[in-house]
Amino acid sequence: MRLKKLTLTAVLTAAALVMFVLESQLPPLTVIPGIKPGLSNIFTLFAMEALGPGWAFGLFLTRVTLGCVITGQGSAFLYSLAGGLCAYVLMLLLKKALRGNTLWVRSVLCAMAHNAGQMAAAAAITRTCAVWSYLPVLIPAAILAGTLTGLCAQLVLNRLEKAGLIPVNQVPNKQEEEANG
Amino acid sequence: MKQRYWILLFAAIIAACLLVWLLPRGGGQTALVYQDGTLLYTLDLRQSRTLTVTGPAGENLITVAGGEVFVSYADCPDQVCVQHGPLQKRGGPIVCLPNRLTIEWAKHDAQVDALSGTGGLS
Repeated sequence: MRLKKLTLTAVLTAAALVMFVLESQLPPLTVIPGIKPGLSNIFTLFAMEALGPGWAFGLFLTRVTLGCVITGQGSAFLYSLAGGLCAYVLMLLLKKALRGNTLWVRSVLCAMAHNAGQMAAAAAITRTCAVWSYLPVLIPAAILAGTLTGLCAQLVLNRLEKAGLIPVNQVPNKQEEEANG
Repeated sequence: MKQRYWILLFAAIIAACLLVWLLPRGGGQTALVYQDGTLLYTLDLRQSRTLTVTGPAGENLITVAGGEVFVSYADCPDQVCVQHGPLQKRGGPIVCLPNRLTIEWAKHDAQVDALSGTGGLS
């Protein structure tokens, strides 16, 4: 089962990376840095729900590191990491607090935490509070982006659940798995 | 049912943020150039000038012309500060993260005299 999860995480990480690189090639939506759909987070959300927090964290860390290496945006690494860690911690907390069909709500709240973390990193690096004045734009952007990615992940997860493919723990080829060691 | 409250809450937050964003702030004739949180220059926008600021990622060329201040050239790859255009009365400061540079409005035009004495207000 571990092997299965590891493989699935690897595939999801690859898909997330492709999405991340594709997205970085798009022209910026606004002049303000940090506003983008963050479509690669669909895969992080998916991993969080289908595989568990540990796997999702591995996916996130690999995606951020390799994403920055591939796109060559070294300075973006710290911001991405700070934002991502904030979102990750909040997601762990919300996972217990919000149950049911509320993945998109959690996604929105985490997107806001992500932007807050990025802003905090930017404020720490530039040592000014001026970057905080972008907050009124970044919050609505986070809500829209979070809804988009959250709904994508939620719809896919719901369908896979109906088809009996999730959770991965209950995949019915246990014998095969034991035979593989 | 519960989702409806979330939708309402998020819509309210978006509306509130738009309101805050559209409120005019700053303006006036004085802009401040900060790097690493320290004030580098106090610019009087009525005096056209060009100045270069050097940071960890390279150089930024700041131009004051026609009562506006903008970054006309930057070494960094993302060019966010150049694409920002002139400092607007509404909206945020010009930020260059690679060079840790911000350009924002001064709270009071009088600061020109107090801080640098070279503002040319007289």
